Amino acid sequence: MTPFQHRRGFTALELLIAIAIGSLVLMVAYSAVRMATATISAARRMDVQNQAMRSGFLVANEELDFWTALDDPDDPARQRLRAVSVQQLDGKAVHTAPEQTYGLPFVALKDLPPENQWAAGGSGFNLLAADPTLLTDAQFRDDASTGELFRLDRARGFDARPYQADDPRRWYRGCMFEPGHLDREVGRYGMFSNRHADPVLGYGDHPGVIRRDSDDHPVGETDVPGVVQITGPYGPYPPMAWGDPGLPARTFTWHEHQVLYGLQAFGSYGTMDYLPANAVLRIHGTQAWCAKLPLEGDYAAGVANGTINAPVDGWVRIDERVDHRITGYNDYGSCFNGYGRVVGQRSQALTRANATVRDWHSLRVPGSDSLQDLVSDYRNPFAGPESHHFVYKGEIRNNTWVENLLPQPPPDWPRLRLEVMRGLLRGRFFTLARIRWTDTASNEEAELVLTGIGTTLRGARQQRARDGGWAAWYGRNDTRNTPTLDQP
Amino acid sequence: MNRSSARSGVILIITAALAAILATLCLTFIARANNAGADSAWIGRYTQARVMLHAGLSYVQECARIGWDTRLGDGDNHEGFGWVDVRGGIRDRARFVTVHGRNPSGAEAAAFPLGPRSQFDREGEDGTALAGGDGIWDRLWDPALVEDGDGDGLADRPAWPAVGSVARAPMFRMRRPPFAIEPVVAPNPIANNPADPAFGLPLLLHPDPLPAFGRGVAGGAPATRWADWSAGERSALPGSEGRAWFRVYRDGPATFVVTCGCGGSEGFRDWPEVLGAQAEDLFQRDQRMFEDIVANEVRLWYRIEWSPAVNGNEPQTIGWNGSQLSVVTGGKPDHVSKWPWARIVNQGGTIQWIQRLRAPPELW
Repeated sequence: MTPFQHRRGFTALELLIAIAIGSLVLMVAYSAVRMATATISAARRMDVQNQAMRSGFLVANEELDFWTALDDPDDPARQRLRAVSVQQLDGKAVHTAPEQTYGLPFVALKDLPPENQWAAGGSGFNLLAADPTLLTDAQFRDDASTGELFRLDRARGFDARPYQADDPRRWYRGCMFEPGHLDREVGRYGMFSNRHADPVLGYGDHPGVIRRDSDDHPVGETDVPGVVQITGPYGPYPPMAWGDPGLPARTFTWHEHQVLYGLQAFGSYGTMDYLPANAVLRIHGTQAWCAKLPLEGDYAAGVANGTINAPVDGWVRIDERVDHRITGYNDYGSCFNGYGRVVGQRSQALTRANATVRDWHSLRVPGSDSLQDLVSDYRNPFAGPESHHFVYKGEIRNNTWVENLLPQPPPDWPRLRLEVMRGLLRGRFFTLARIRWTDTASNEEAELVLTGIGTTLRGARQQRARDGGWAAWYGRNDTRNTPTLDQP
Repeated sequence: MNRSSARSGVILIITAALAAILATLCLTFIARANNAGADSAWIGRYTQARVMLHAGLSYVQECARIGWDTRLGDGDNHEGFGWVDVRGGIRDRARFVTVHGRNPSGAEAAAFPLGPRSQFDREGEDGTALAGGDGIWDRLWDPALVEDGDGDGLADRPAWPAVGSVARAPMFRMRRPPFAIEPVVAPNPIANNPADPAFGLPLLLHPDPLPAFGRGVAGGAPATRWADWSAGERSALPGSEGRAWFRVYRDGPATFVVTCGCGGSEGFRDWPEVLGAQAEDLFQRDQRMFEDIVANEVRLWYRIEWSPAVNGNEPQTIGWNGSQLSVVTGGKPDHVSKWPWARIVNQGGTIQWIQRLRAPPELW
């Protein structure tokens, strides 16, 4: 056998067939692998997309609870809303008057300037109450000037702590089943009402009237000194603790000065978060009623000569600075038919022409806008052009925290964008979060919009330590609790 | 090794390599899908826990007004006046003086307004204590320590709703809730024949929905008497329990720690609490199993404060209409009708503020 005979080879046809079959197998295998990888790639992209959506959802919800976009306790560079005064921000003086020394929503109370501190002897801007028993009757009425207001508040000795819920000053004094109309005012905090140490709520046929004191009862009417009697549409309301001779005199209600201080400290949004619920933010009347209002210094003379209706004393007076910033109504012209006036503004009617108010306001993080604009907008939310509450959507767009959660993603990854907006509309807080992602393959956009309940601004301030970082909370009245931004 | 077997080996290697590639891709895909599923499940639990915050807040708002019917044992439900008594304690004080002939101490006076208080009063109008009365308005709580919260066999906390107590609320579907109804689709043709007994009774022959009465609901026993129907069958429908829960710790008169969770722990804080509640059977007496369940749960802690106010802040407009202070109408479009949200009143009070806690407090 020759060597050739021993070599078992292939014919050309065999080779061609083998190559063809091999190629076919390889093509099929390649296609299978390619399809598998493409499928996996698509699945991966979908997975990343879903993951981005989940991440956005989680970040949005955590932001609802921790407010780190507006104030990050771990990053001093992101704590610009802790400034005490706008003068300290970017060297731009938005407000220069001493009484307009404003804090921003995350200001630490300890950092407030002396005029607004509540340390012993300080006037205390805080939203807490004064002790009117420290004041004489004359002192209550001697509040014509701002300086005097501060002095009086100082004399009242502000409490340095927010009220506990078991403090009677915080309790709702009305009937929970009051009808939803008319006489509800007696069931609300008379925030601007209690300018007297011992007010009386209502008497006889005058439900809801807050009287100066129990000595003003009409002749012949039985009076129990110090015990408040309110008459509602369905009979007498339960007596109230105010002035109960057996209790320490704790006649605390909210006061316009306190609101003003709150505005100075926190701005409108923050003040609303610290007010008692049910706060009455504005009280005013018709022309006939307003004509009876005791003006500053006129009260004693008015009572003496019979021209002043005593029961209205103490209910009415709203500092216009407060009024402008915290109320949202813009339609007084029709409401009062031109006859009304806002108490505290004396003869000036608040109408569309002279009251340019916005009825919502929002918080936003310092971003592309100048800080001066931000502060101006934040501090004075009603100063812009008159708007209607139905147009707030555009404002939401302009006042939203926006963050691109994937700043440098791979080119085939979806883009993710998160927006969180906090606002206040008609006295109600709302939060809106929007998670939007774009599929880079199909260029399709999808978004998830949600609202939710989470930490309020007051809660966020209590999360933050007075001296930096996060505050630890172990329990009520636990001495290990870290002092928070709310503690001096 | 001959050539034929060598070629077979090559083919085998190629095939195995291709198979390995495909298997790797498949496994990667499955693993990724599994991870995504796990992530989604966690997000689902987180979302469910946040939903529990709503439930917890609603519970705090409602229960002090709806009241309880367990402690006083008189077979009746006692409504309450809120976590702090809005009446301010004046009547308590007056009665205390009448009954005891002296002024209350500061501590006694401070306890008067602590709610929730019963709608009923066990004293006569003259301040004379009736049977069971203690000189003040009935309260729906008792400060006595009756629960074992740490499993040491000793009572260390009072029963809900006293200050320092805990309400645990695992979610489940009842077999038949109290006063259950069924959406029974019932055609109600209008009879047009005056001789028909149903003539003139459109839509009333077959009311819909119907009380779930006389038949079983979701596997429960049928209610055949009013008492059965009104009481319901409150045991959990199998498969519906062990998902989400909240618990409320009352740390002050109107301040609470609300813990929200999603998982199978039924809201028990830890194993000692399970022991204290003698609820080991829920977890097959297996501490390890319980701790695994807890490790896989989402738990969120919130601190909240309740306010007795029944409305939010609002720019209210009040004026003098000639005879009384009221919401101003002046014969013109009035405040309330123009801004209807001004009349939205809830009966449960208001949550004054909310604070998410970064770490669990000592007591919750």
